[in-house]
Order: sequence, then C-alpha cells, then structure tokens
Amino acid sequence: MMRAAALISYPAGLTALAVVSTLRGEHSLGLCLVGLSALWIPVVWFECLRRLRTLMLAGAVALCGIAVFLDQPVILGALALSAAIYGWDVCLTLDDLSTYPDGSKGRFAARYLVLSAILAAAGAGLAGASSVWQGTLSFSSALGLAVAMLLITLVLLRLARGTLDASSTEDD
Amino acid sequence: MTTQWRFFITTGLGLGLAVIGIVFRLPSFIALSIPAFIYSGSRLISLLALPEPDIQITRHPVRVRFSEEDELSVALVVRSHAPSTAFVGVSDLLPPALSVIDGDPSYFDSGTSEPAETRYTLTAPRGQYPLGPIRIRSWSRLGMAMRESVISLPQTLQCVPKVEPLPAITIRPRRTRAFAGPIRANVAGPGIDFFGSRAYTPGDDIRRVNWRTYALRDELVVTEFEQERIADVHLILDARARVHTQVGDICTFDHATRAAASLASHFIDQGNNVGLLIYGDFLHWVYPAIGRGQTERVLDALARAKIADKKAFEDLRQIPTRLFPPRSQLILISPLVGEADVEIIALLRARGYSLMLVCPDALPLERTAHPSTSATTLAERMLRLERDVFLESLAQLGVQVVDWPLDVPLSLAVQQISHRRGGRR
Repeated sequence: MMRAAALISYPAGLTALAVVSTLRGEHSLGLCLVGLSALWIPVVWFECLRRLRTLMLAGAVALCGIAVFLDQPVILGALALSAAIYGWDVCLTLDDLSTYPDGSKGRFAARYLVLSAILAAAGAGLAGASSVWQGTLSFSSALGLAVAMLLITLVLLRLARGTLDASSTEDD
Repeated sequence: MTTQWRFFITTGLGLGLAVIGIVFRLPSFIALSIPAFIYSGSRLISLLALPEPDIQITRHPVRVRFSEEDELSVALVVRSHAPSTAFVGVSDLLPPALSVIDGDPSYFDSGTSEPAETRYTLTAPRGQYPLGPIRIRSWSRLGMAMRESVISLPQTLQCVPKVEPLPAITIRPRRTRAFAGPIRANVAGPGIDFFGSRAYTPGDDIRRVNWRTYALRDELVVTEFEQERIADVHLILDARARVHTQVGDICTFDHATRAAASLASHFIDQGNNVGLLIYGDFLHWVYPAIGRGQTERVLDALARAKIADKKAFEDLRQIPTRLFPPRSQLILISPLVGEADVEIIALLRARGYSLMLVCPDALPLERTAHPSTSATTLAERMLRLERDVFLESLAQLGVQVVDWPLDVPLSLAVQQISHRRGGRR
C-alpha cells in the first residue's frame, strides 16, 4: 500500500504539470518533468539510495519553480510539489518500516498514508488559495516578509534543536 | 534518514523558494513554498509532542552456547512505559553470519505498557558472535515523527563445532598414566588381553596360575595380562592458512575443527588426559585435563579458532614439544602440503611421541574450484600422487594415518585405523 502510494504520487503530480506545460507550449519543461517522473519509478522500485531520492525531490522542487516562473498555474505547481513531497516522505517511511514484520504495521501504514495525504492536500490547497490573491510585492512588504521568514526559521530551528538528539544520523 | 532530517530538508526547500520569491518579487514562489512549510510544521509539532522513548528490553537466549547443528531460540521482551508513544519498532541487529530460520528479530506494534514478546530461532556456523545492539524506533500517535535510539545489550553467542560420535580408536602411546583406562599400557597387570607368562613367584595370585602348563611341565607358571590405563593425548590443530583450502563457504579448516572436537570428546569420554594446541595464528594451548569440563574448554577454544597466515608458523617447526610429556600420544589434524611438514612429523616420531595424523583430503574440494581441463586433471593426479607418497612415508615411520575424504564422516575414516590393531609403538 505504501509502496504503491510512493510510486504513484510523485509521478502523478509531475505528469499533470508536464501535460499542462506541454499544452501551453513549454515542451522542454514537459519533457523534463516526464523524464523525472519516469526515473522515480525504478528508483523507488529498486530501493536506491535515500540520497538519490532526496536529490530527486530537489529536482522536482526546482522544476515546479521553473514551471511557475514560466507562468504555469501556481495551483498545479503546488499540487505537483505536494505530491512529490508526499511520495518522497512515504518511500522513506517505507524504508524505516521495512525491517519489521508485515502483519503488524498495516494499521500504522494506513493512518500514516491518510494523514500525510491530508497534509499534502492542505498544503496544495493553501498555496492555490494564496495564489488567487494576485498582490504585487513592494519593497516594504518584501522586507517585512523576509524578516518574518527569518524569525520563523530561527524559532523553528531553536525548537528543533531541543528535539534533535545526538543519535539522529543519516542511514546511508 | 530520520524524520528530523526530513524536517530540515523540506524546511530548506521551502525557505529556498520563499527567498527566491522575496528577492525577485515573485508571489507565486512564496505560494509554492507553502506545501513545504506545512510539511515541516507538521513534522516539528509531532517531534515536539513525541517524548523520549522509555522502553525496556530484555533478551532471553535459552543458552549462549550451542553446536553448529543446533538451533538457538531467542526471545525479545519489549515493555514500553511512554503512553504517548503510539508505535514502537524494535530490531535486534544481528551479525550477518547468523541466520534467522524462524520468527523475526524485529517487533512492531502499538506502544502499550503490556510486555510484548517476539521470538526467533538462529543457526550459525562455528564461531563467536557478539549479539548486536538493539535499535528502537518510536513513532508519535500521528505517525509523523520518529525517534531512533540504540541500546547495547551485550551478549556473546558461542557456536561450537559439531561433535561426531566415533567408534573405538586404537592408540598406542609409549607412556601411560597410573589410572585405569582404555589404552593398553604394554605393562603386565590386571587386564583382559593376554600379555605373557612367567614363573610363579610367591605373592602371585593363585588364580593366575596356568594349571595346564603345570600339568605338562610340572612347574608353576602364571599368565599375565596387559594393563589398560589412561594416557596423555594431545591434539594439534593445524590452523595455518597455507595448508587449508576454501571454496565458497566450505573450508577444510571447519572440517578439521569438527574432527578435533570429535576426537577430543572421544578421548576425554574414555577418561584420558586431553590437551589441545591450535597452531597457526598463535600458540593457543588448552592445558591437558580430564572430565566433562575439559570437553567444554576444548570446544570453546575450537569455536574461537581461526586460520591465520603468520610467517613464524610457516612450517610445523615451531610446535612447542616441551608442552607435551615425553612418549605421549600426539594427534595432528592437518592437510599436509609439503615435505617440510612430513620431516617435522618424522622428527616428532623420532623423539618418541606416538603419532596419529588425521589428514583431510582437500583435493576434491580444490578440484571444484577449477575448470575441468587436461591440465587440471594432470595437476590433480600429481598432487594426489605426492600426497599418497607423503602419507605412505609417514605410515612407514609408524604414524597412524587417517586419510579423510571430506565427503565421508570421520567415524568411517577412523575405522581404517580401528581395524588395524596393535602396530608399532
């Protein structure tokens, strides 16, 4: 179940964005998106290195950014990005659970998939809603937003520092 | 990659998009960063809500010492004390050489305070294995955050070589000990085998007078029997890498350790004083002793034995003969490879030791590693001839030679000397 979700979600979002981009004349972008989607399937299927999967997430984020920059619908870009994060997260969680016996982790997997899907949908929905408001950034609003972002980041990092123990390391 | 790392990665990606949006005044990029931030925020909240796992784990091996042919049952008992930990995953990180044949060394369930148990069954090749640490992963109720910790539960498993029951083996050491045992001592006394007859002397047991001789020759003659005593038996296991052959998982050294274990067990069970020298890596010496405890000591030493390639032990010249009492019984377990080894064995024989050589035949095993060509067939024939010459020359020196093809049980191989009663001491 988790493997299927990981296999489908990432390419589905990027393919949808690729189709729209191609229809709008951005053939090279569409090709890149389809290529990345196609690459994702063997990477997950053959359980390649986690770093490679994370690199592919970064690639998806970059392509979504380019698509939005090239005036593709923001809602579609956010949807593709959410789907990519969802697929990436699920396939990593699948790895974490792979050592445990199959019978006992079904309840956890179902709960995790549903909750992650809700979060991904909420992210995409919120991004879509914010894009409806077509405001332009002035110097003062951009500066305010930057300071706010910086503060949020600092608060998040400070909070996270307490929770990150020394034993948390990368597996691969 | 734990959930903490995932939080950092998505936060970084979101920040990257947001910064680009702010710098280049692109509101759509800021909108695009929202899914990443929502993901990071949910992770962070879950992480903060997830307490440190308070899990107690105990491992219950039924025993920590088992034989190659046995299976070892291990139980992991998991007790979680953290109520907000929704799911707990426990993995016993076993050394790769151990094979799980039944059950699962991992456990995954909701973190209830009730103790839970998982069982698994192991098999292993000969050796000593430190049981690995135990990895604990705990997930929050929402499953969005995971903590990982590793606890060490040190325990050492010892897999001793398989002991094969052997038929009676006739050895004839020149010197025996004072206690009664199964080995013919070449000394007249209480026994069952005829030893000789001599003139009666006062004090002799009247029941030993040979009355038939008295009737014929009119003189009193007593019949003597050969005493049976225990002896000093010293096993020498050749652990030099250059004499052993390994093809895939099969190594002649493993066969040699099994032979050493079987022979040691056999001679200890007969009441003999048995010692073991593992010659190769280091002179590992198990001091001679009797009794069941000695069997265990020998098996422990054999479980730890490893082949090694040391210049100092290139040939058998370094065998410390001072460890062995003069004229005692030596049993060498070695696939001989050269004339130098044969010379050393001859030298030991000349010093008065009674010698038995158990020689595993590695040629068929070695043959499987090479393609079947006329050259390899010829090489095999030459090696076979050379080996036969070595063994024959040793047999002529009075060494009891057990030529042991590895596909034949040792009990069958030793029968070739069991049937050969007597022999030169």
